[in-house]
Amino acid sequence: MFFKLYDKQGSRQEQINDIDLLFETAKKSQDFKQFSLINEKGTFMISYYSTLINHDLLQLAVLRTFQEVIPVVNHLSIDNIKTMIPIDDIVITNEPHHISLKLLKGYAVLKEKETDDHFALINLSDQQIGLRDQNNTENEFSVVGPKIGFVENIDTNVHLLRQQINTPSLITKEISIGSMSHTKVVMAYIEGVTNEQHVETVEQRLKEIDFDVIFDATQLDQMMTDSSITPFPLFLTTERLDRTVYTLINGQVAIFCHGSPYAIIGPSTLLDFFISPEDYYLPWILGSFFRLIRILGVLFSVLASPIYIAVTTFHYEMIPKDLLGPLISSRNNVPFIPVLEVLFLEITIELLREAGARLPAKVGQTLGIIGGIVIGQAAVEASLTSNVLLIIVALSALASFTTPIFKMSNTIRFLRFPFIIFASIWGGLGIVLSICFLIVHLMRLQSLGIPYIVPIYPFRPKDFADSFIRSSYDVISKRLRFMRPKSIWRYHPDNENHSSDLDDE
Amino acid sequence: MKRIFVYSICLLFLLSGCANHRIVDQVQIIESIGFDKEEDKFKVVALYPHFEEKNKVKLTDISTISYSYYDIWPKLNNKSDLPIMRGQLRMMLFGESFAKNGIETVVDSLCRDPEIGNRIFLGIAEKSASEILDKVKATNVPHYLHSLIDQNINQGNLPYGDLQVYLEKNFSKGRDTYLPFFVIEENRVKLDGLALLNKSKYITNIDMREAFILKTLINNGTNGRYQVHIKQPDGDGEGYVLLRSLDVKTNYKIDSVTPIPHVTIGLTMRVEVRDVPPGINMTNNVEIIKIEGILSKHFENAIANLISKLQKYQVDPIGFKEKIQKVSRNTNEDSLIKSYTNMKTTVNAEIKIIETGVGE
Repeated sequence: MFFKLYDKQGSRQEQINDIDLLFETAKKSQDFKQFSLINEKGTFMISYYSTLINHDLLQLAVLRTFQEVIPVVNHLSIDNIKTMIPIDDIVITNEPHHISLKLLKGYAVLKEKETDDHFALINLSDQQIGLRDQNNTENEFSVVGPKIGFVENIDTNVHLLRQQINTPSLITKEISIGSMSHTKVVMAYIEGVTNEQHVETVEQRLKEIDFDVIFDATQLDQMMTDSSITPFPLFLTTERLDRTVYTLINGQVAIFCHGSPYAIIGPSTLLDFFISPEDYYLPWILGSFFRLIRILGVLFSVLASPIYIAVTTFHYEMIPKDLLGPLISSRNNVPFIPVLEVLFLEITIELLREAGARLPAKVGQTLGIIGGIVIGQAAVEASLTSNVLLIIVALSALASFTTPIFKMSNTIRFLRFPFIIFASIWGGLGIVLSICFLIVHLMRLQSLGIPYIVPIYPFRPKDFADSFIRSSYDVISKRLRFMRPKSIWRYHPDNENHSSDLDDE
Repeated sequence: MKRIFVYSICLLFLLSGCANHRIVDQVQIIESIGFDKEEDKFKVVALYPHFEEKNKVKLTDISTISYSYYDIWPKLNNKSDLPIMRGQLRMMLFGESFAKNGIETVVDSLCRDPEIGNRIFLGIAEKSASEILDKVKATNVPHYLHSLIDQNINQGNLPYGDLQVYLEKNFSKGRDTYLPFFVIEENRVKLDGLALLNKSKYITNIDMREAFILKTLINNGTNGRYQVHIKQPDGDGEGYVLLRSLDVKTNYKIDSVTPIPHVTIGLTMRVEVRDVPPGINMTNNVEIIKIEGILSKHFENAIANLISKLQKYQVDPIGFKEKIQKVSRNTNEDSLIKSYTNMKTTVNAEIKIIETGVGE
């Protein structure tokens, strides 16, 4: 017993091999129902979990059939019951493990009492119960463009995907993961576009996962990631349909998990996380401009407070002469060294964010105002921080939220802290050093075997068309080469200039 | 591999430690400094801004007497509650008597001081530097002298020159240096032309008008304001013409080197005329050409006068010695000085009036 507790193999739930044992265990639950349907032709026993099935379906399709149709049928056995019950998904099996899985997914088990070895599994499951059907995007907003997001129901998600990618080449593969939850996981890709290597890698990694209950797709992300000692997300996580479709047509693989409104997409590169679907809905000049603003915002967010520390602690020489006065007079009565001042404010902001995320929406808003204005102003009044720093920290917090993907904006906020520590130790040299560490780290990362910061390293000049700049649709007609797609053209751009229609008349 | 990485990170911290903190509000940032001679020692006055409240600055001075440049800082520190820092120093002023003995002692140390930027301005004060700095202190404007020089370089008649330029001229063989010259007028500091130096020794000074002429000869004298008194032969339209230079091109041609060097200076200046005396019609092309002729003549004379003045004092801020040496292979300094003092020049000035908008 003692050894079994620590035996790694014991973590896998043992397969149920005895059907009687299954029913015996199940009967301990109050919602498990088992009763006989008796008529002249024989005695049938039906078993199901009443909480998992659709009761209308049970009454209309099964019980009614037994009352009205079966009495007039001459020969009745478990094998031809399929023809009588008006439900498409009926499986005849005698495998106890299979039965136990299906029973727990909302199937009713029907058996004829004399012939014990064959069971009919009738799908009465109700997937909609308890799941929300509102599918607006909740966290990834856009002003322009569709607002369809995924929901917890995986069938709805695949349905949404099929609605937009109307081709049989869209392949979905189902895998069941989780020794307790048996969660349905679907990987989707487009055949003839996505490189098989990616598909095989994803499939292999998903199959290797040994876990009890999968709560969210992000857990899969962590379990199949190339490297777990990195703050950077190596797979894109999105709840937007348009974004997922866009990645699929570019030759990436999307993974859905039942119970999670997020799709995870791989292989992904660093730049993917700074792309917003809105870039493609705006004219390319505007799209590119806002994308550049976003990337600059990230740089600002990571570097602003470290540079403040470095300059005020070590490099007073490089302060412009007109800035010297405001900087000194705002820091005049602050008793702390700049690094403590910065850490105090940064952690305050993190607290506000964390508290804002946990609190109910209406309270959270109030708290944000109190935190932002009252605490900030009071901290300055009490000479705990300087005015200048308050502006810098607030701006860099704001800038970190411009990143469209939440996981990446978390990463960026986290990255600030090592920079702050290095800047407080060695000033500008420390910042340079931490940038070096960061670049080396990024260069070593891979997502499904694809370098993380491609096209910057390895340098792929042809793939820059849709990276920092979102070029016009004439230019980005080819798929990204570093994704190694099976076909390169997305569409054929119309190279001729669209002449004015008036000329033709 | 991972272990080596962790160890090397630890070593990085242990071996290097932390850098010295110089927190910006916990240091005394010197912004200008003045040197005066006191017997065989320096009398040093330094100004630093004191930011007491928001948007309120008070300039404070601190002074000491020392023997050498590097000796100043520990001595000033003895008089200050916060460490004296010189990284923001932007103005260094020398008193006339100090400069007459040569500012070399200070400048030599200056160019070995990594904390001092190359872009600080040097200047010479009439009489004593401490007097000028005293007047600056009364204004309570930080970097007053620096801004004064800076705006006069950009918008006025002062030729460009910071420490970098000073050192370049000082260390090159055939050129001499010039520095802004400050006087006190009506209780205020006034920029009054240029001080001319020879081998870092102050020789003489020239006024702002001559400074503009020098600016046109050294770097392009854009944005200079210059007033010319004109008197037409027929007696009509006597008065002052104020012009603003828009674009200046100067070229030097060495016609001969031995026995007496001869240099032809070509000056092309495009100007905007601001003020003209009444009676001159600036819409008339013939009159404009006439004025251009008068102005050209004036500049030819002014340049010739300035050069003869420079020759008289044996200072060479324009670098004629260098220009002569380039074509003569004469490296002997004494003979170079000799040929410079004997040098003859011909000036061809061409002034073009391209704008006659009157008033700003």
